[in-house]
This record gives sequence, C-alpha cells and structure tokens, in this order.
Amino acid sequence: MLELEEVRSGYGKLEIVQAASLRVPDGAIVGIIGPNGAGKSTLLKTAFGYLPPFAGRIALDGQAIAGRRPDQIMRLGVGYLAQAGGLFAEMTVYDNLVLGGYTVSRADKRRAIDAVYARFPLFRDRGRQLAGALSGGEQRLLAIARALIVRPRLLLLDEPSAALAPRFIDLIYATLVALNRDGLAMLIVEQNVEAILAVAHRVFVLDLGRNAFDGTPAELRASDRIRRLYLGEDEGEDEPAEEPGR
Amino acid sequence: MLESLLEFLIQGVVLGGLYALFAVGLSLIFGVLDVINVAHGEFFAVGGYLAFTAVVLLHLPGAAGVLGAAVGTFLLGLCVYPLLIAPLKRRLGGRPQGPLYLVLTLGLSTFLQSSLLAIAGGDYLRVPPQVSGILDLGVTAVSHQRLLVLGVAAGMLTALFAFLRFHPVGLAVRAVALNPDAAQAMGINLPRIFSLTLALGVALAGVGGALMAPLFNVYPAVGFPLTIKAFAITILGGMGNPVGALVASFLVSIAESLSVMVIPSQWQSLIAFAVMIVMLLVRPRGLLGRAVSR
Amino acid sequence: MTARARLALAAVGVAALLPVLLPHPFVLTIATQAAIWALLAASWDLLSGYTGQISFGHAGFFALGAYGAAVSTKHADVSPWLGLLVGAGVAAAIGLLTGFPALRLRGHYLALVTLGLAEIIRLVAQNWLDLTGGPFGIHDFRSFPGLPAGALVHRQAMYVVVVVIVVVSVAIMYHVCERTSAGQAFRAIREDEVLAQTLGIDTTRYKLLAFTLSSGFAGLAGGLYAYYVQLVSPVVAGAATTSLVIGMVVFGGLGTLWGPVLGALLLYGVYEGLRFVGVVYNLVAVGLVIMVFVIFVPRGLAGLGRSA
Repeated sequence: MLELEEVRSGYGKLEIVQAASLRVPDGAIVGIIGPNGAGKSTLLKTAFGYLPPFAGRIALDGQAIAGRRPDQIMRLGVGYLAQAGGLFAEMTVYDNLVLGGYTVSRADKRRAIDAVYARFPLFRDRGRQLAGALSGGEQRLLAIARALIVRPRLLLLDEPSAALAPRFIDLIYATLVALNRDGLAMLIVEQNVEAILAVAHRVFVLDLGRNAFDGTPAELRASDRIRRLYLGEDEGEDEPAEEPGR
Repeated sequence: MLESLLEFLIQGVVLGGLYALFAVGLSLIFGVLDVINVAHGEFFAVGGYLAFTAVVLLHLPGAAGVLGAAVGTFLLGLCVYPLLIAPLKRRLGGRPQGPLYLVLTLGLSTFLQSSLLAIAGGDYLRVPPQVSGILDLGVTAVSHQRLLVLGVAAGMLTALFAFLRFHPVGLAVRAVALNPDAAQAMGINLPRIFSLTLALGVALAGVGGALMAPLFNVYPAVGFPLTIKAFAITILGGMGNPVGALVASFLVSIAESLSVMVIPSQWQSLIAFAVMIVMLLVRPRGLLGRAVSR
Repeated sequence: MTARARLALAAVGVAALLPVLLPHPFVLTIATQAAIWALLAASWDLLSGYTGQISFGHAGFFALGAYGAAVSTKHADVSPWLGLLVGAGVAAAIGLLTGFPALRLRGHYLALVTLGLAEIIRLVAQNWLDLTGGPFGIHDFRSFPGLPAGALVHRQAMYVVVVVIVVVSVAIMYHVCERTSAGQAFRAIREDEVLAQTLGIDTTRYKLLAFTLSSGFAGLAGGLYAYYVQLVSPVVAGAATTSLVIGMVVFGGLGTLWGPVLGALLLYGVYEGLRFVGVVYNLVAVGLVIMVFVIFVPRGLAGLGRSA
C-alpha cells in the first residue's frame, strides 16, 4: 500500500533521513523503531507531505505522492496522528470531530460522527468540552476518533503511546488492533518498543537516518545484536549497550 | 461637563467603527498567516480610489462605489499570498522569521502607495458622501455619513464573526489559526485559506476606505497613519484575536475622543502609541490574546 | 575582508573621488546625500543585520539627530561641529533607552515598538511648534563654518566633510562589528540568543551597546543631513525614510556593513536618477526592490554569486 524507497529528507539544509526504505502492505501494522534522532518522526512527516523529500520515491498504491501537500495525501485515504498537539485544544470535542469530517459531505458527516460515538461512547456526552481539557489518554483517543471520520485506509501514527499512563497505552493499542482487524493499515513510529513489538506484523529499525534492520517482531527478538542495540536489553556481564548516535 | 462627556463618548463610538474595520482585518491576518500586514492602509487607500472611480468618474451611485471597493480590494488581496508570501515561505522553508515578512509587507506598502501616486497623482480627491444629512442628538450632532460607517462596520463585522463561528470554511479558518499542521491533516488546503483570509481582511479595510473617502478625501498616503494606529490597537487587544481587536478599537477610539478634554487634539494619536508600547512591555499578548510564543 | 568586499570598497573609493574631480553641482548633491544615506544604512545594519534586532524606527533616530543638531544651533547658537555631536548624543541616549524594553521583545514585536517610537518622534516634531517649528520644520540655522565661500567650491567642501565623517564612522562600525569581541557577541546574539547566554555572553550589555551605537550613528547621519540640506521637517521621521533605509540594506546585503553602504549608494543613485523619469516612480522601484530582494536575493548584492 505505502512504499518508501531511498528517501532522503530533513529540515532546511540539515539532512536527517539519509536513505530510508520501507513498505506497508495492505492491512498490515508496520512499526518504526530506533534511537532518538534517528529520523523516525521526520520520515513519517515526509511520508505525509509535511516535509518535501530531498530524494527518493514515495508511492501510495503505486501512485507517486512525493512532494504533495498533506491535505492532498489525506484525501487519498491517509490519516496522520501527530506526536503531541494534534488536536485543536481550544476547540470543543465536537468541533474537533466536525473538522475531522471537513472533506466529507454534510450528510455523511453526521453519520460518520454517530459511528465514531458508537465506537467511542465516552465522547458522546462531552461534545462541548474543550479538547484541551481532556486527559492525555482521552486526547489521544479523540485524535484517533477524529481521524476515523473520513474512513482512512492507512493511519500514520507518531509515538501514540508517548507520555501516557500504562493502562491508556494498553487501551490505545487495543483500539488500534481492533481497527486493524477491520482492515485499517498502520505505520507506527514508537519509542515504546514492547508495545509495538506486541502488535506489529513487521518492524523497521531506523538508525542515523538509515535502515538498520527489518523483520518480524519474532526475528527482531531472536537477534542478540538487535536486542542489545535497540531493544534495550543488556547481556548480563557485558557492559550496558551504548546506543549508537547518543 | 456631563454633556461634553457624552458628546465625546458618542464621537468615540462612531470612530471606533472605522478602527474596528481596520484592526479586525489586520488581527485576523496575523492570527491565521502569522504575518503583520504593513500594507493594510494601502488597501484602505485603494478602496477610496475605487469609490472615487465609481462615483466621480463613472457616475455610479454611492453604493456601487462601496461594493466596487469591497470587490476590488478583495481581488487585489487574493494576489498577495501566492505572489509574495508563499514564495518567501518556500525560501525560508518553514522557519519562522517574523521580521522578514514585515519587511516584505513594508515593501508592498511602499510599492502600493507610490504606485497610487504614480497612477493617480498626489492630489486630494473629493468624493461625495454616500448619504448626507446630520443626526441631531441634542448633546452632539453626528453626520449620517459617520453613522453609515458605524452601521456598515457593525454589519460586516457581524457577518465576519458569524462566518467564522458557523460556516464550515470559517471553522477551517479558525483551525488554521490554531494549528496549521493539524488543519492540513484534516484536508484543509492551507494556501487557499491563507489567500481567502488575507483577501477578507484587506477587503474590510477597502470598504472602510470607500466609506471614509468623503470624510478624509482620497490620496495615496491616506491609509498609513491608520495602519500604525491599528498596530497599536491589535496589540492592545491581542495580536491574532479579532474579538480583542474589536474591543480594543472602541477602547482606543473612546479614549482618544475623551482625551480631547485634557490634552490638545493634535496629541491624540500619542495615546494609541503610548498604550501600544506599554502593552508590549507589560503584557505582549494583549488583553485577550494568545501567548506570544507562536 | 573578503575579496569581493575589497573590490566593492575600491569601486566605492573611486566613485567617491569622482565628485571632487568632476565637480558638477547635481552630481555633488546626489553624492553627498548618498553618503549620508550610506551612513544611516550602515547604522541600521549594525543593529538589525549584525545583532538581529530588527528596528523599524531608525527614521526616528535620524530625525532626533537632525532636530538635535538644528535646534541646538538655532536656539543655543552651538557650533555645527558640536551640533553634530549633540544630535548624535540625543539619538544615542534615546537609543539606549529604547534598548531596555527591547531586551524583552523579539521579532515583529520589537519592530512594532520601534515603529511606534518613530511615530511618536514624528508626532512630537510635527506638533511642538516652539521647539521644532511644527510641520514646516526648522530652516534658518547656520551650517559648518570655515568652508570656502564660492558656490561650487562650497559644495565640494561640504562633500568632502560629509564623506570624511561618513567614512570614519563606517570604519569605526566595521571595526567594532568585525574585529572586536563586541562584534562577535552581536553575531552570536543574532544567531541564537539563548545559546549566546549559555556561553557566558552578557547579551544585555551587548544589545544595549548595539542600540546605542546604531542610534548614535543614525543621529550623526541626521545631523549631517540637517547641516547639508539646511531644512529639517517632520517628514524625515516618516515612513519613506524607513522604507528607503530598509530597502538599501536588503538590496546591499544584511549583516555585512559594506553591503548596505553599497546598496545605499546604488539605490539612492537610482532613486534620484529616476526622478528624471518622473518623481513618482522612484519609490515604486524601492518598493519593488524590497519585495524582490527579500524573497529572491536574501543576501543582497553582497551575497550574489556566493553559494548559500
């Protein structure tokens, strides 16, 4: 569904992603992990069009989308959940949902919002509350709910578990898994390695802007080297791993 | 004493309508585009010239002049984002560099004002009032023309705020002002919203220019003193907050009007600037504004 | 100094000699005024280009210098040579005062405060009849004593006086900006003020220094203007002055000092030259230059040909 090939991108003159490639097959959950500064978020932003790539190929269902604007990519069926501040905090929950349906007709909007309320009943009575007044976990859920209004086929998530209490992390990921069972593909950047390894079909490791490894979670766990370098486990009498790039 | 107070109060309210037309547009543009439009006054002047053209040169009725000013400045405003701001944005690659945009709009201001001078000459052009007559309120008399300004201002600003509050595109405009990245993720076309907002903002000034033409006369630099005063007003109200700009417009206009009782009238304008400087030092986000950090 | 800077300065030096060798009154007039603008542009660059504190109010400091000089000579019979210092001093003092609130402001808020200040100065100049002569300004004050009397020779002597003062001033500013630790501090503040503070640079002191120097030299330019043109009116504190200065610096290249000097000389030459085509078009060109250069040629003439 989504293909990134030899993508290079960054901010201004600073090249952060040096040569990254990955694929998200239809209906799959794909994770991106790696040390801080590896370019994971940058890559995600590039895929969604917030940053124009310096080089490389980005294709959605075979259609080249590199260089398109985020609102154009969104209309192709892709949703994006930012790491922080993705909501309109000064607007109400209801207005956030309405904005989620910006590209949808009036009639469909009503139906879609009702469908979202059905899936996330906690928002039904909180329409008038300011989005910023919700708890961290509720805000994350609202962002997901909002993204679902347009019935995307692919979601890009930037650290969905960031700054959340463990029970909310479980809730978020349970929600994501349920959505995936209904056919929604996902590309998830994560620092919380355990959470993503538990649900992903395939994981790409990014280090210093390049691919370092990719495989199934089982393959990652099986490799001592990968475990030591990226999964944060040390090997007993060995010295604690120094993650490259720190 | 009370009579004078009432008189100046009324005059202040009437003046506030004009300030509001100006400052609300300026504040809206800043709130959505993060750009301070130094050239705002030039759209006011263009509005006056369009009214002059319609009424004096083409012998159309006064309302046509106002309508023409609105449409003309709107169309002119639509050109500003794609031709000037977008290219600068592209070059800067998203790094916020407020002062550079200020320099850009300063260049636009110089260009527009001197173009008007080149095209139309520097003479003060006279435009007949759209309405004549005076309303006698006992304590003071207010010309119908000034009341028209206040009335049109009230009408247009009500329409604007209703648009922002209730219309889907108005909601999109507010969304872009709050969080442009998230707005894009909702499928909102940023360049289009930017262009629309800018055009709307300057069209308000253009209408003001057409309505004030009979009172100020029309000449290239007619808008500039208002621009600077509008900066002061928007800072008082909170840059980027149109409601704040509305409130501040009347605060300033009434203060200016009342001040005539204690200081000579030519020093009136000092009030606005003194207020601006004090606000910037004490509370840069203004009375109702959002935090300065953006 | 880079090779291109040396080349530019050489060209300017040759051009500077021209009015002395080919004394034509019109050329002398343009050259003298261009030199005054060059000083003003350089002073703006010191504050806004080098230190990154964008000021939209330099017309105000210029006016303070002009009025300070004119008023002191007219009302207190101060010698014009001293009058220059008075003007520069007044401007520098106000500049220093402006620096304090400016410490807390950034970006467009700073620009707006300085713009407001210039407007206040203009308003005061326009309305304080006793001191400033109101909208008509001050005009009957004497100019530099001791200069030769013949019409042409007098202009040439004026030209020399102005150029010498301008060159010395720009040299001082250049020295400060490029060769002293103060200049390094300026640039550090421009690049990343927080970083500069963590490196132990007293940003407060250097920002105030930049404001004082910049406004002082702007005031000096104002004083020169007053004694040269012999008429000071509120217009000098107006928007056209600000636009011209910013246009010159953007044209020449922010943050190089010699760029703005070159930009001022060229742009003023074009500005006056266009007067022949028709007074009305010259400011149009300035506006265009500002817009085009800000977008497409951010480093101005000074940066042409250089990669990024």
